[in-house]
Amino acid sequence: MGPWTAAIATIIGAHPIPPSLGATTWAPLQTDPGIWPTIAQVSVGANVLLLAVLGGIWARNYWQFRSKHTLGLLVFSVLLLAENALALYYYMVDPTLATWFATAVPAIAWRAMMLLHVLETVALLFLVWITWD
Amino acid sequence: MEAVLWYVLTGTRGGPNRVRLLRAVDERPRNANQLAEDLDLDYTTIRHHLDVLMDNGMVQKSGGDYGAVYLTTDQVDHHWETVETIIEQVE
Repeated sequence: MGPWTAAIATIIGAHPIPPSLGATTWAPLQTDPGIWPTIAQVSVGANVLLLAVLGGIWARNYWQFRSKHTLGLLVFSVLLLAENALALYYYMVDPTLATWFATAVPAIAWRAMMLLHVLETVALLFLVWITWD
Repeated sequence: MEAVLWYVLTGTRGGPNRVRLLRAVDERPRNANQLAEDLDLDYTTIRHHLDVLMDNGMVQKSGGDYGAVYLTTDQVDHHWETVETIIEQVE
């Protein structure tokens, strides 16, 4: 575990794993990813919804203004929405990957991925906040 | 300023109404009541958009608090070409 992961783990209240305990601690983590997959999936779902809101506003504005700027915003939201929809598909639906994510991915990996998704959710909340205005 | 103009006027939900407001204020300075009437928008909606435009340095208040008129800032006048490009699309 790198220093950043350890620092973030402290902030979010997860206990860092001491290297000496690695061998005994890893086995249960393999089968029990804990709460992280749920938080990650809820976060990705929220991203999809927030991007749908942004995309809706930007599509309407593109329709009206037909400018390079509004088109850029619209394309950005569509692609980022596709990214999140695809993540949700891989986590929950894809026959091979969904099984793998549910059974073979340890908590430490889920926690790292969860953090990426949650940061994106916070970023999108701010963008919706200024765009809904 | 360019980026702010584009985002505040074309990137947000209230953008199109703010464009109409900015054009009206540029035609001649008006107070919030006149703007509400002339643009056929709710008074509180007008107040909100004026606050956003002021917050971004696009319009300024002139005169006392009560019945103050709003006019465009030097900053916006300086970039009026951009505003005009945007306005053309709202007509």
